[in-house]
Amino acid sequence: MLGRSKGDTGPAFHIPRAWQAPMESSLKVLLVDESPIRAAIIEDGLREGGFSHVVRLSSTDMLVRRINEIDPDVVLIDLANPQRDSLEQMFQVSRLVRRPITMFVDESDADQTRAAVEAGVSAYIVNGLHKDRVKNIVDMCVTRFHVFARLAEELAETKTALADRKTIDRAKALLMKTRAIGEEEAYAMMRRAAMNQKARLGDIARAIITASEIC
Amino acid sequence: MSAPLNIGFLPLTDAAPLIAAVDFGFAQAEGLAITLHRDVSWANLRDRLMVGQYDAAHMLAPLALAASLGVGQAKCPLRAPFLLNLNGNGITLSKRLLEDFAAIGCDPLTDWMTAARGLADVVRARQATGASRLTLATVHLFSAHTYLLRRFLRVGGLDPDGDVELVVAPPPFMVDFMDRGLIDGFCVGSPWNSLAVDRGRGVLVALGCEVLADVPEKVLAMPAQGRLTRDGEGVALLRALGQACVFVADPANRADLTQAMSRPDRLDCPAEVIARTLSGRLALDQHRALRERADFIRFAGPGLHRPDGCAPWIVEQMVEAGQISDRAGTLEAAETVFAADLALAAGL
Repeated sequence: MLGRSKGDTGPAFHIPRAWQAPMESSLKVLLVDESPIRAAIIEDGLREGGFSHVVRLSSTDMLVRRINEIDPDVVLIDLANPQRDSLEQMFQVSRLVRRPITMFVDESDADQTRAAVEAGVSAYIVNGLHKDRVKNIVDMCVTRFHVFARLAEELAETKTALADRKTIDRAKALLMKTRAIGEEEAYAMMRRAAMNQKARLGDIARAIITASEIC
Repeated sequence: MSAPLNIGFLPLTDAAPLIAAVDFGFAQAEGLAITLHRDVSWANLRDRLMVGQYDAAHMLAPLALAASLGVGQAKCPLRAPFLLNLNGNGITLSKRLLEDFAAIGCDPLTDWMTAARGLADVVRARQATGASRLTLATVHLFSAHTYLLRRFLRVGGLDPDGDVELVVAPPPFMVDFMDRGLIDGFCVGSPWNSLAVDRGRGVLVALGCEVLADVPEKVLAMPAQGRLTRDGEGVALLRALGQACVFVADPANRADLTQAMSRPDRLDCPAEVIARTLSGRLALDQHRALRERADFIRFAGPGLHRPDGCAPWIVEQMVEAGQISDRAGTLEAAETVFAADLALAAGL
């Protein structure tokens, strides 16, 4: 059985039992992702599922050249990567000369295909592998792409909040100085202005600072 | 007005009719609201059509057929009721390769035929010395670019499947791959040849329309069972695009159009470069004269948008390139994909 890592945070990272068969470790998964952080999150998920052969490539490599050396069983690529067309050409050529390749995305998996496209990931099966086995990989990817998107969103919000906090403090100090009022009163003044104008407190604070710079 | 139509495109000059339809009011005049989505690969456009994220998309004409058949990819039944443009491609060779041309006393900028024959001589000379095969790139396996490049090679006397290696690379990476010696030349659409020439990385040796005239290039593609094939909206969209194409083809609108197209959420490319490709006055290298062809890229003309005429040529190219073997069956499928019914209903 696989242990769950310390940082694991619950049901979002549930690992289907089907993955835990020992044979999974022999599959080689190629992961092409623009975002090194997201790639790390996915790779972590693959390893937890028992896929120890994970190769990561960045987008600027010429995939066609590298893919023959790597010889993967499954390829996962994020949709932001413009090289999907190159990858598909490689598959088409190999299909003719080398070995069977199935695209995971097809009509029989409409729901999962939709989920994958909406999450921003695409999967290709290279070795004529049974689709059910790869389905779990794709499910995990979809979940983790969403987790990553949520984390990125939270990070952006935190950054904005932090920036706002600094701006609000500066504006408050300005008001206290120019109007000779206390901290609480200055803050209340800005909040009233924000409510009246249906604006964010951070925007009011920025306006106060801009006004003071002009005057 | 119903929910906006979501239409995907790649940042290429021939997305002009889609951009013009939205930014210059042709869609609105037909009662349509359109949200344009810039994307990064043809595979993405195809998949987003398949899952219903897009109602229609800018698409390589041959790919609309290949996707509908499921050749080399997941099967995604599409309709391509509107041909957006003819031509617009070019073949660029790397600066490094110019030394090989100089060595055999050939100037590839003389004309495209000289370049094609010269390239064959360069390849033969390399074969004689045991040098590695040249690698040439196109933007997609199922594209006019692939078929034009194959024709260019054959005219010169080369076997496209044996004498060179043909690969696919994304246009924004072409120049970088050329710099790194990974590819020696490419056949791409506008404005990518011009950008490579401007950066001094390659020379434009052939315009697509010189290698073969009036080649079907991009279509508007839509899911066979989508919102646009079901009701009157599709016809309205085609009428709007027909109007937009007339606007795009008129030089009087060029300044406004290229300004709109240059925006970061559209092509994100200098307006001057787009204007050059639209005008058909192409710089071949950084120093020398332009080559000028009025039909370098064509957006308007009698019957130009009717897609049915392009089916036989595309099927023939797919056979020649070894992409399909069932000519008759493919032709039958192509007649459905490129059916003219919507275009005729739109008065095109």
